[in-house]
Amino acid sequence: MHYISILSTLVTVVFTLAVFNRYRRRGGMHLLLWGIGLTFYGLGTLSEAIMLYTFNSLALKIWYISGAMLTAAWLGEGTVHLLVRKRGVAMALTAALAIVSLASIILVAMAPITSAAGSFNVQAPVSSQYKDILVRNGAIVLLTILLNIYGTLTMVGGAIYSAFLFWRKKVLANRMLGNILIAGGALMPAMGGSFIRAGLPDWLYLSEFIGAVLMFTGFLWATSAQPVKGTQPA
Amino acid sequence: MKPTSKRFSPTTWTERLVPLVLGLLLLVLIITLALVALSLTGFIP
Repeated sequence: MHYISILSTLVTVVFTLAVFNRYRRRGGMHLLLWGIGLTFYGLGTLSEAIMLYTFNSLALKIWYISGAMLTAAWLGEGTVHLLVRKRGVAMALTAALAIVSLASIILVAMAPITSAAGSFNVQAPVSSQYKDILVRNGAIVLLTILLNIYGTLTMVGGAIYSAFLFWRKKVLANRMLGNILIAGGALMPAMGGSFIRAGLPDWLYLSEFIGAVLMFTGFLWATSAQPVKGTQPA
Repeated sequence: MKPTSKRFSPTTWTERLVPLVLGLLLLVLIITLALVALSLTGFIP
């Protein structure tokens, strides 16, 4: 089942291109940040796919930086730009995230790899083995916690809040449903760690795949042109 | 030309289902955040 990460990478690449293409046509800081977040998502699943065949310390570090630290935070930052009215606040948060991300990349790049790398099992998920291989100091662990909580809260919480607003006003049903799908999809990889602890490591890969598909479907739904009542068909 | 509207009228079942789904998503979000914090700090293995 863990070969699903290859499929997840393909879905994420198409999703990322769709978001960047929309940004190119319409602009919008939120689209740029979602594109960056999705690039990290794709890098995470791609490095997972590489480690299905062989262990590579660079792939492990890219997987940790992108998948475990930066994806959720950058996706959530896009939602912050969509929902926070005060542009200065959103830009300040983005600048802070950029600095924290840079610090995270440096810290993980400098983190030592243990001899346990020699007994890396390609049949088992990297999520269940990385703690023995990558030496994470207190700063890395703290940043991982903060970035994941910030990202999950803003991405999922923002999508739930947006869906609630559309529901309360009873407008734009496509955006309401799209946001529900995005919230559900973003929760999937966030729950991946729980699947590992529950002894279901393969479900991590499935959750990443379902997460990418749900978010992509939600994005397409939310950005589709909705037929409006009272207009004549073309 | 008729006025355009982006409003929608929920059916009986969506009237009940959507709040339920949103509540469920919120609950899962809270549980997930708690698990992330507990696991990464080492309180749960």
